[in-house]
Amino acid sequence: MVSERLYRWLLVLYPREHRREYGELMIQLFRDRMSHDGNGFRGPIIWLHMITDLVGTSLSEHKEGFVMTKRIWIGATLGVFLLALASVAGMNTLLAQTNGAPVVQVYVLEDTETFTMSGTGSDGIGEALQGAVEEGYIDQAAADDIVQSAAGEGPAVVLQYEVGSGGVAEAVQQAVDDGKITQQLADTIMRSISGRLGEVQHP
Amino acid sequence: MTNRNPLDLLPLPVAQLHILLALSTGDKHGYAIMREVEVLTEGAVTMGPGTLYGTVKKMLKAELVEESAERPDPEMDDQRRRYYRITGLGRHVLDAEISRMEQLARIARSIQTATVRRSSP
Repeated sequence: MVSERLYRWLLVLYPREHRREYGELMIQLFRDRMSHDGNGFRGPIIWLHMITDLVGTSLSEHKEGFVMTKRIWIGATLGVFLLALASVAGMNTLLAQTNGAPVVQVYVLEDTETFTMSGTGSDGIGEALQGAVEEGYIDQAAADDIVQSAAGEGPAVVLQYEVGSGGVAEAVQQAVDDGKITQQLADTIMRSISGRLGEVQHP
Repeated sequence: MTNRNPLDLLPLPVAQLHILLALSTGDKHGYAIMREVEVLTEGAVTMGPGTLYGTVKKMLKAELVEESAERPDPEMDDQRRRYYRITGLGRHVLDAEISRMEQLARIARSIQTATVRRSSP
């Protein structure tokens, strides 16, 4: 029966839990109602009544579920806020930043899923930091802070980039082409990550 | 039976009242409840499946009704059908709601009568 198929299809309007618990019972009731009372001219009226009933009550079922959802939302928002706070607290400084949005950045983070360089505190990073100091992107104190944080078992050094999808080299080159960073700094950054690109997990 | 005070559940939503009235005469499945409500209200109230099962869900949670294992309607018997019965708490709540409505009707009538007397020449 077409009307029953349509009714069954419209049950998707209900929350999944309600549908699982009462969906088949509602279809059974719809079937009973239509087969006993839906003959003749009353059929379309009864059918329309049941459809409007379905739409109306599905909204109220969602409204009831919203109380729980709101609690979950508050919890999730609080969790994300605390996570963000922890990340910012773990971030030491920026290596290269443009006048506007950052293009190529080196962060020192407690943890990340984007790009982690092994051998923290290596000469490559030291060179990159020195280049950033010379270019005036960061001061010596910030560079020292990064090196200190990255040494030994400390936090990992992380490179994040936002330009292009061709990887770090393209992002760095794009930054140079845009005049965001100097070629010298780009070379320094590329040297610092030389041989470690295989470990890059592109975001 | 739960120790809840029936008065805490008043006033009953209209749909819950109709379902309790329908179940007060015996265990019924969804369609039988729907039909009984129509008969009791002389066709004034027609419940759709969404209203009926949405209300039954709330009433199960409030322990006003419960699922019944008995199959009192052999004509429409189907293992997939669920039968419901009114609980002890449900009966107490129904009685309390009817008393409340009677009292309300008495108050309304007395106000109406007094108003008519005052306004008549």
